[in-house]
Amino acid sequence: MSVSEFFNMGGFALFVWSALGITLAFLLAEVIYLKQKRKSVIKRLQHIVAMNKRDDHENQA
Amino acid sequence: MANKTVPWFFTLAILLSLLGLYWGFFQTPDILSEQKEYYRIIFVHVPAAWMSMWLYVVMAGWAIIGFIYNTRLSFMMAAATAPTGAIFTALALLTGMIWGKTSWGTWWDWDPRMTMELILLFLYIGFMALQSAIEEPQRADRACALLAIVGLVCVPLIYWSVNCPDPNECAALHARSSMTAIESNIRFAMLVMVVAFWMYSFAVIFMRARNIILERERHASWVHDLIRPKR
Repeated sequence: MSVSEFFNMGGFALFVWSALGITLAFLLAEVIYLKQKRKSVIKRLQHIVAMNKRDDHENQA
Repeated sequence: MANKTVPWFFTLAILLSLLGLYWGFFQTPDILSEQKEYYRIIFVHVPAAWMSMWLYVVMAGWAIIGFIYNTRLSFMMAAATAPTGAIFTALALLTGMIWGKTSWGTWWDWDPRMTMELILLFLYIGFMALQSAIEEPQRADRACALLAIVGLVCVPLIYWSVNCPDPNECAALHARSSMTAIESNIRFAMLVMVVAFWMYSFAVIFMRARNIILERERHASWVHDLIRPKR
Protein backbone atom coordinates (compact mmCIF):
# COMPACT_ATOMS: atom_id res chain seq x y z
CA MET A 1 0.00 0.00 0.00
CA SER A 2 1.47 3.34 -1.02
CA VAL A 3 1.34 6.51 1.02
CA SER A 4 -1.12 8.19 -1.34
CA GLU A 5 -3.33 5.11 -1.29
CA PHE A 6 -3.33 5.27 2.47
CA PHE A 7 -4.35 8.90 2.58
CA ASN A 8 -6.94 8.33 -0.10
CA MET A 9 -8.83 5.88 2.16
CA GLY A 10 -10.48 4.13 -0.75
CA GLY A 11 -11.91 7.44 -1.95
CA PHE A 12 -13.34 8.33 1.45
CA ALA A 13 -10.41 10.53 2.47
CA LEU A 14 -12.53 13.61 3.02
CA PHE A 15 -14.89 11.81 5.38
CA VAL A 16 -12.35 9.84 7.39
CA TRP A 17 -9.81 12.64 7.81
CA SER A 18 -12.38 15.32 8.51
CA ALA A 19 -13.89 13.16 11.29
CA LEU A 20 -10.45 12.73 12.81
CA GLY A 21 -9.55 16.37 12.26
CA ILE A 22 -12.73 17.68 13.88
CA THR A 23 -12.13 15.46 16.91
CA LEU A 24 -8.53 16.60 17.26
CA ALA A 25 -9.50 20.25 16.82
CA PHE A 26 -12.23 20.10 19.48
CA LEU A 27 -10.02 18.37 22.04
CA LEU A 28 -7.05 20.68 21.44
CA ALA A 29 -9.29 23.73 21.64
CA GLU A 30 -10.62 22.59 25.00
CA VAL A 31 -7.11 22.21 26.43
CA ILE A 32 -5.94 25.58 25.11
CA TYR A 33 -9.08 27.28 26.41
CA LEU A 34 -8.63 25.78 29.88
CA LYS A 35 -4.99 26.89 30.05
CA GLN A 36 -5.90 30.44 29.15
CA LYS A 37 -8.85 30.40 31.49
CA ARG A 38 -6.57 29.48 34.39
CA LYS A 39 -4.27 32.37 33.56
CA SER A 40 -7.14 34.83 33.40
CA VAL A 41 -8.67 33.56 36.66
CA ILE A 42 -5.36 33.96 38.48
CA LYS A 43 -4.90 37.42 37.02
CA ARG A 44 -8.35 38.51 38.10
CA LEU A 45 -7.92 37.15 41.62
CA GLN A 46 -4.56 38.89 41.92
CA HIS A 47 -6.28 42.09 40.97
CA ILE A 48 -9.01 41.57 43.60
CA VAL A 49 -6.46 40.77 46.30
CA ALA A 50 -4.46 43.88 45.42
CA MET A 51 -7.59 46.02 45.59
CA ASN A 52 -8.57 44.60 48.96
CA LYS A 53 -5.09 45.30 50.32
CA ARG A 54 -5.31 48.88 49.18
CA ASP A 55 -8.68 49.26 50.87
CA ASP A 56 -7.27 47.84 54.11
CA HIS A 57 -4.41 50.34 54.09
CA GLU A 58 -6.77 53.21 53.47
CA ASN A 59 -9.02 52.08 56.31
CA GLN A 60 -6.10 51.88 58.71
CA ALA A 61 -4.83 55.30 57.75
CA MET B 1 -2.96 16.20 43.71
CA ALA B 2 -4.73 17.10 40.50
CA ASN B 3 -1.87 19.44 39.71
CA LYS B 4 0.64 16.60 39.38
CA THR B 5 -1.60 14.05 37.71
CA VAL B 6 -2.77 16.20 34.79
CA PRO B 7 0.44 15.85 32.72
CA TRP B 8 0.41 12.09 33.32
CA PHE B 9 -3.14 11.76 32.09
CA PHE B 10 -2.29 13.81 29.01
CA THR B 11 0.78 11.68 28.32
CA LEU B 12 -1.26 8.49 28.62
CA ALA B 13 -4.01 9.96 26.43
CA ILE B 14 -1.51 10.85 23.69
CA LEU B 15 0.33 7.54 23.80
CA LEU B 16 -2.87 5.50 23.82
CA SER B 17 -4.37 7.55 20.96
CA LEU B 18 -1.25 6.94 18.91
CA LEU B 19 -1.44 3.22 19.62
CA GLY B 20 -5.18 3.11 18.95
CA LEU B 21 -4.94 5.05 15.69
CA TYR B 22 -1.88 3.10 14.52
CA TRP B 23 -3.71 -0.16 15.20
CA GLY B 24 -6.91 1.16 13.71
CA PHE B 25 -5.31 2.32 10.48
CA PHE B 26 -2.56 -0.26 9.92
CA GLN B 27 -3.60 -3.48 11.62
CA THR B 28 -7.20 -3.69 10.52
CA PRO B 29 -8.97 -4.89 7.37
CA ASP B 30 -10.25 -2.22 4.99
CA ILE B 31 -13.78 -3.51 5.30
CA LEU B 32 -16.18 -3.90 8.21
CA SER B 33 -19.06 -6.08 7.02
CA GLU B 34 -20.24 -4.21 3.90
CA GLN B 35 -18.63 -0.95 4.92
CA LYS B 36 -15.51 0.23 3.17
CA GLU B 37 -12.65 2.34 4.50
CA TYR B 38 -14.99 4.99 5.86
CA TYR B 39 -15.87 2.68 8.75
CA ARG B 40 -12.58 3.92 10.29
CA ILE B 41 -14.53 6.88 11.61
CA ILE B 42 -15.46 4.29 14.24
CA PHE B 43 -12.19 4.95 16.06
CA VAL B 44 -13.29 8.42 17.05
CA HIS B 45 -17.06 8.10 16.75
CA VAL B 46 -17.73 5.21 19.12
CA PRO B 47 -15.29 6.33 21.85
CA ALA B 48 -16.77 9.85 21.71
CA ALA B 49 -20.31 8.48 21.91
CA TRP B 50 -19.40 6.29 24.87
CA MET B 51 -17.68 9.15 26.66
CA SER B 52 -20.75 11.33 26.11
CA MET B 53 -22.81 8.76 28.03
CA TRP B 54 -20.23 7.84 30.66
CA LEU B 55 -19.41 11.43 31.50
CA TYR B 56 -23.10 12.09 31.93
CA VAL B 57 -23.26 9.23 34.44
CA VAL B 58 -20.17 10.63 36.18
CA MET B 59 -21.70 14.11 36.28
CA ALA B 60 -25.01 12.85 37.66
CA GLY B 61 -23.08 10.68 40.12
CA TRP B 62 -21.29 13.76 41.49
CA ALA B 63 -24.65 15.53 41.65
CA ILE B 64 -26.16 12.67 43.67
CA ILE B 65 -23.18 12.59 46.04
CA GLY B 66 -23.52 16.35 46.39
CA PHE B 67 -27.16 16.03 47.36
CA ILE B 68 -26.56 13.26 49.89
CA TYR B 69 -23.44 14.59 51.61
CA ASN B 70 -23.90 18.25 50.79
CA THR B 71 -20.27 18.61 49.72
CA ARG B 72 -19.32 21.62 47.66
CA LEU B 73 -16.51 19.78 45.93
CA SER B 74 -18.82 17.19 44.36
CA PHE B 75 -20.96 19.94 42.85
CA MET B 76 -17.82 21.56 41.50
CA MET B 77 -16.77 18.23 39.98
CA ALA B 78 -20.19 17.89 38.33
CA ALA B 79 -19.79 21.39 36.89
CA ALA B 80 -16.28 20.53 35.72
CA THR B 81 -17.52 17.42 33.92
CA ALA B 82 -20.36 19.00 31.93
CA PRO B 83 -18.43 20.91 29.23
CA THR B 84 -16.21 17.93 28.41
CA GLY B 85 -19.30 15.75 28.18
CA ALA B 86 -20.88 18.28 25.87
CA ILE B 87 -17.78 18.29 23.65
CA PHE B 88 -17.81 14.51 23.33
CA THR B 89 -21.54 14.55 22.60
CA ALA B 90 -21.03 17.14 19.86
CA LEU B 91 -18.16 15.07 18.46
CA ALA B 92 -20.24 11.89 18.51
CA LEU B 93 -22.96 13.70 16.56
CA LEU B 94 -20.60 15.38 14.08
CA THR B 95 -18.50 12.30 13.34
CA GLY B 96 -21.74 10.31 13.21
CA MET B 97 -23.12 12.69 10.61
CA ILE B 98 -20.01 12.29 8.50
CA TRP B 99 -20.32 8.55 8.80
CA GLY B 100 -24.03 8.70 8.06
CA LYS B 101 -23.38 10.64 4.86
CA THR B 102 -21.12 7.87 3.58
CA SER B 103 -23.06 4.82 4.67
CA TRP B 104 -26.70 5.95 4.73
CA GLY B 105 -26.33 8.70 2.15
CA THR B 106 -27.74 11.32 4.51
CA TRP B 107 -26.23 13.65 7.07
CA TRP B 108 -29.09 13.28 9.48
CA ASP B 109 -31.74 10.69 10.12
CA TRP B 110 -34.12 10.97 13.05
CA ASP B 111 -33.21 7.51 14.23
CA PRO B 112 -33.93 7.03 17.95
CA ARG B 113 -30.29 6.92 18.97
CA MET B 114 -29.30 10.09 17.12
CA THR B 115 -32.32 11.91 18.43
CA MET B 116 -31.58 10.91 22.03
CA GLU B 117 -27.93 11.86 21.62
CA LEU B 118 -29.05 15.30 20.44
CA ILE B 119 -31.25 15.59 23.54
CA LEU B 120 -28.22 14.62 25.63
CA LEU B 121 -26.32 17.51 24.06
CA PHE B 122 -29.15 19.85 25.01
CA LEU B 123 -29.06 18.50 28.58
CA TYR B 124 -25.36 19.26 28.86
CA ILE B 125 -25.87 22.72 27.39
CA GLY B 126 -28.84 23.27 29.70
CA PHE B 127 -26.71 22.30 32.69
CA MET B 128 -24.00 24.78 31.69
CA ALA B 129 -26.48 27.55 30.95
CA LEU B 130 -28.24 27.03 34.28
CA GLN B 131 -24.93 27.07 36.12
CA SER B 132 -24.00 30.43 34.68
CA ALA B 133 -27.51 31.89 34.89
CA ILE B 134 -27.85 31.59 38.67
CA GLU B 135 -25.63 33.99 40.56
CA GLU B 136 -25.55 32.26 43.90
CA PRO B 137 -23.33 29.15 43.63
CA GLN B 138 -25.25 27.03 46.16
CA ARG B 139 -28.54 27.50 44.37
CA ALA B 140 -26.96 26.99 40.96
CA ASP B 141 -25.35 23.77 42.17
CA ARG B 142 -28.63 22.34 43.41
CA ALA B 143 -30.64 23.34 40.36
CA CYS B 144 -28.01 21.86 38.04
CA ALA B 145 -27.71 18.70 40.09
CA LEU B 146 -31.44 18.19 39.85
CA LEU B 147 -31.34 18.68 36.08
CA ALA B 148 -28.43 16.23 35.78
CA ILE B 149 -30.23 13.57 37.81
CA VAL B 150 -33.52 13.90 35.93
CA GLY B 151 -31.69 13.81 32.61
CA LEU B 152 -29.97 10.58 33.58
CA VAL B 153 -32.93 8.76 32.08
CA CYS B 154 -31.50 9.64 28.66
CA VAL B 155 -28.42 7.47 28.98
CA PRO B 156 -30.03 4.00 29.04
CA LEU B 157 -32.36 5.19 26.29
CA ILE B 158 -29.40 5.98 24.06
CA TYR B 159 -27.65 2.77 24.96
CA TRP B 160 -30.60 0.49 24.20
CA SER B 161 -32.18 2.55 21.47
CA VAL B 162 -30.73 0.15 18.89
CA ASN B 163 -33.55 -2.24 19.74
CA CYS B 164 -36.15 0.01 18.26
CA PRO B 165 -39.64 -1.34 17.76
CA ASP B 166 -39.83 -0.91 14.02
CA PRO B 167 -36.64 -2.14 12.35
CA ASN B 168 -37.59 -0.56 9.03
CA GLU B 169 -37.42 2.87 10.54
CA CYS B 170 -34.13 2.34 12.30
CA ALA B 171 -31.00 3.19 10.45
CA ALA B 172 -29.40 -0.12 9.62
CA LEU B 173 -25.97 0.62 10.99
CA HIS B 174 -27.11 1.41 14.51
CA ALA B 175 -29.53 -1.48 14.52
CA ARG B 176 -26.68 -3.90 13.89
CA SER B 177 -23.99 -2.51 16.17
CA SER B 178 -22.75 -5.14 18.56
CA MET B 179 -19.39 -5.57 20.22
CA THR B 180 -19.01 -9.24 19.41
CA ALA B 181 -19.83 -8.77 15.73
CA ILE B 182 -16.81 -6.52 15.21
CA GLU B 183 -13.54 -7.90 13.90
CA SER B 184 -11.13 -8.29 16.84
CA ASN B 185 -8.41 -5.88 15.62
CA ILE B 186 -10.99 -3.19 14.99
CA ARG B 187 -12.45 -3.79 18.43
CA PHE B 188 -9.02 -3.61 20.05
CA ALA B 189 -8.17 -0.28 18.39
CA MET B 190 -11.56 1.08 19.34
CA LEU B 191 -11.20 0.08 22.98
CA VAL B 192 -7.71 1.59 23.17
CA MET B 193 -9.21 4.83 21.89
CA VAL B 194 -11.89 4.63 24.57
CA VAL B 195 -9.23 4.39 27.28
CA ALA B 196 -7.32 7.25 25.64
CA PHE B 197 -10.45 9.41 25.73
CA TRP B 198 -10.94 8.54 29.40
CA MET B 199 -7.41 9.69 30.19
CA TYR B 200 -8.01 12.88 28.24
CA SER B 201 -11.25 13.41 30.17
CA PHE B 202 -9.53 12.99 33.54
CA ALA B 203 -6.92 15.54 32.53
CA VAL B 204 -9.28 18.24 31.28
CA ILE B 205 -11.84 17.72 34.04
CA PHE B 206 -9.11 18.15 36.65
CA MET B 207 -7.92 21.26 34.86
CA ARG B 208 -11.42 22.70 34.82
CA ALA B 209 -12.09 21.70 38.43
CA ARG B 210 -8.96 23.61 39.47
CA ASN B 211 -10.23 26.71 37.70
CA ILE B 212 -13.64 26.43 39.33
CA ILE B 213 -12.16 25.85 42.80
CA LEU B 214 -9.84 28.85 42.41
CA GLU B 215 -12.74 31.11 41.54
CA ARG B 216 -15.05 29.84 44.22
CA GLU B 217 -12.52 29.65 47.05
CA ARG B 218 -11.06 33.05 46.32
CA HIS B 219 -11.26 34.02 49.99
CA ALA B 220 -9.21 31.06 51.20
CA SER B 221 -5.65 31.80 52.26
CA TRP B 222 -4.17 28.96 50.17
CA VAL B 223 -5.61 30.59 47.06
CA HIS B 224 -3.93 33.84 48.01
CA ASP B 225 -0.63 32.03 48.45
CA LEU B 226 -1.05 30.33 45.10
CA ILE B 227 -1.81 33.46 43.10
CA ARG B 228 0.85 35.61 44.73
CA PRO B 229 3.01 36.88 41.83
CA LYS B 230 6.37 35.18 41.72
CA ARG B 231 9.35 37.51 42.04
